[in-house]
Amino acid sequence: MRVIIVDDMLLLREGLARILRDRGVEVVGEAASADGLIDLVSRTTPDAVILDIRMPPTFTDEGLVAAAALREAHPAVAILVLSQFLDAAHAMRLLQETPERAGYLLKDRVMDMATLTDALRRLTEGETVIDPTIVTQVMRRRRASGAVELTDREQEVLSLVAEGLSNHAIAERLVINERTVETHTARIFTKFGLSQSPEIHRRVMAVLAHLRS
Amino acid sequence: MQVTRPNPASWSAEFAALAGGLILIVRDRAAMQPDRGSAVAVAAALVAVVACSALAALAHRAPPRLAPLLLAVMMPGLTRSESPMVAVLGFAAIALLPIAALYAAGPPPSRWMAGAIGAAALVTFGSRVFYRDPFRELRCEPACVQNPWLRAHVPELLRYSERVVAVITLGWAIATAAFHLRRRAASNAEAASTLVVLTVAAAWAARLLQQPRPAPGDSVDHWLALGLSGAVAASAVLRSVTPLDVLVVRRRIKHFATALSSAGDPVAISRHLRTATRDESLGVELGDHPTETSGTSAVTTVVRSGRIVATIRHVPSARGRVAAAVTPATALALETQFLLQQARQQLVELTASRAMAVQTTDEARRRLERDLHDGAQQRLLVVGMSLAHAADDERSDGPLRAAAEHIAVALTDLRRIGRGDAAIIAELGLNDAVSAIAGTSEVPMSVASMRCASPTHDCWPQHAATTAYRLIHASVAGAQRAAAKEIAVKLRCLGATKGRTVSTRHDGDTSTERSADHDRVIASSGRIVIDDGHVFEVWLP
Repeated sequence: MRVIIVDDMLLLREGLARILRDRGVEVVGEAASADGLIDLVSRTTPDAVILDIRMPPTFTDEGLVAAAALREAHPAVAILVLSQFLDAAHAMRLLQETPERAGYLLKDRVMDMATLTDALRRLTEGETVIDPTIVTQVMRRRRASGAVELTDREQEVLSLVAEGLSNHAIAERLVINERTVETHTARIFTKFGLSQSPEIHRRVMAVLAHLRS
Repeated sequence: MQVTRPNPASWSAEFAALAGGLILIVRDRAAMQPDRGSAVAVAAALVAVVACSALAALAHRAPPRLAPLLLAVMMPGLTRSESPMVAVLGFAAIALLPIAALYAAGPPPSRWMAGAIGAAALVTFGSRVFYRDPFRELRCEPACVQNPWLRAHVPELLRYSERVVAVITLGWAIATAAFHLRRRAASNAEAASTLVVLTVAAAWAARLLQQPRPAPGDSVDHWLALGLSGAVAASAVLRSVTPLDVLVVRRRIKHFATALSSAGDPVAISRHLRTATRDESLGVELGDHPTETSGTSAVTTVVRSGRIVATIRHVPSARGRVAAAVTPATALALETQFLLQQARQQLVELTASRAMAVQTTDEARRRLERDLHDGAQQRLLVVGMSLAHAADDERSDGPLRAAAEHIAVALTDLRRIGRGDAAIIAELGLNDAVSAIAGTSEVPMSVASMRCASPTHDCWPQHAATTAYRLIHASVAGAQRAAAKEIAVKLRCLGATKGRTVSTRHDGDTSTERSADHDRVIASSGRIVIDDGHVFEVWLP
């Protein structure tokens, strides 16, 4: 897998690059800011770009701006945005146009290299990755305002869906029958009115619908 | 405020009256057979004197001075009236003179003057009584006095007494002159009439001291008396300019006081004062401004409750008018302006320093966050990353893995500490930031946010948003402590100029106590609308 890392912190960028290389990921480019990213991508044709959200010059949302531009120029390149803080609004901004091949993770996840490489792999396969914490946050908010009624178990299942787990993995995690998981997901999809969509897309849409509402 | 001021008009009238009285005594001594012309002159002088006195009393809203009136009543007695009734009344009036002396309770030289009147009148009265018995021999010549001793000594007594009166009059004239020179005459009219009166008094004194005494009926005496009577009348008329002026000034000041109540600011007060005092150079400064007085400018300070509330610069000749214009109402208005100015100044300083304090705190917090983010957090992250990488080959409970987990916890802590509220709001906007609180709150929380009608208006500027965010944060924490089952947050934007409100309501068992963030509301000029422990509502500018 070919990856570009964009982060203004040299130490982190290099550390990340070294560890990714150790894990067999080919780091084809590094940049300290989003300037010239499109050119770099055109030149190096990576599979994925890892973007820090806060970069010079304003240290606010340069990563998201760069992601939108990159999406426009190279729709096939997967984008993983790393953020110091989790923020549903930022996640929405990144994912609402085309959720495929886009991911939003807390920067601390780089410490769990397995999660990171797994996220990269899933992204390049066309999936969506959302940090589980953000889903939990949104769930809690939803519960308080009570817009769409989900049972506790359904919410549990949905947050695992948001993490990108398959029905089988969810069943293992929750120590329940895979059948039961399927029933739960089906019910969730119905509640969000997503019964007709294809399976993978439905799973993403369910999470997004949750974030959006 | 006590405005102590001389009353130039009434003073002038009294001087004129006194001079008139003395002139009549001179005339009495000089012209044994009064003719019609001199009688008219004397009457005119009397009328002028009385009118002046009445006018002055009217202008100053004070009881009329008694001395001129007494003199007026006593004059017929002093003249050689053909009517016995008038002569008797004259003597009765003279008996009242001690009252005039008692009445002179004012400051010198008013007291000296009254003393002079009393002395002169008593001496004249005494000489009259001894010279001629008023009740039996009203028409008798000096030669017909019965008592041989009196007949021998009366002319002598009369001469000495006249000298005493002359000396007293001269003393009074000098005292008056000294008083006027020291104080500076308030107006030209007053200065002129003072000169006339002084001349009259001096001429009369010189005439009395003249030796040998001129014979009665002397034509020089006759014309002198006539001339001096005319001078007194002129003096009285001249002086009447001052009370007339005072009358006009009084009306102007009355108008000024009315205008004052409608026009508040110091500029308007200055303008009205300029109009009232007819001094275009007049300037008002609030507070105490010690200024050197020079020949071209004088300073009047307005004092209320022992404090100088305003300083008025004006030309020296306007001193009397300025003093008259500084009525209690003027002083009150000036004091109000002075206090307002002070209060405004203090408010500006206080608001600025409070805003500065809040801003400094926010700034420090942002700096801390940036430093944490750029330094410790990143390094820790790299260390954690390297550790986690190194721990890949380790067993699941190995020391490296444990260290990496500790670092992960430390990072979470750091993020929570370093994450300034302002940064969260700047990134998310207030609504999402509040939703984020709702996301982490243990107590179910509902958020209702009413947006502004105008889409361009920034409903929650940074300072208001930060304050609102902290308040909500504090309220949620309070609600958790109070074991509330739910908490409702309402954000309302009232409009571009009307500010905004934040309210929280929880159903906890106990009420929540006041948090430090309440002070922040006050510091940002906000207002706590309701704070009953469960419902908390603030208004923010």
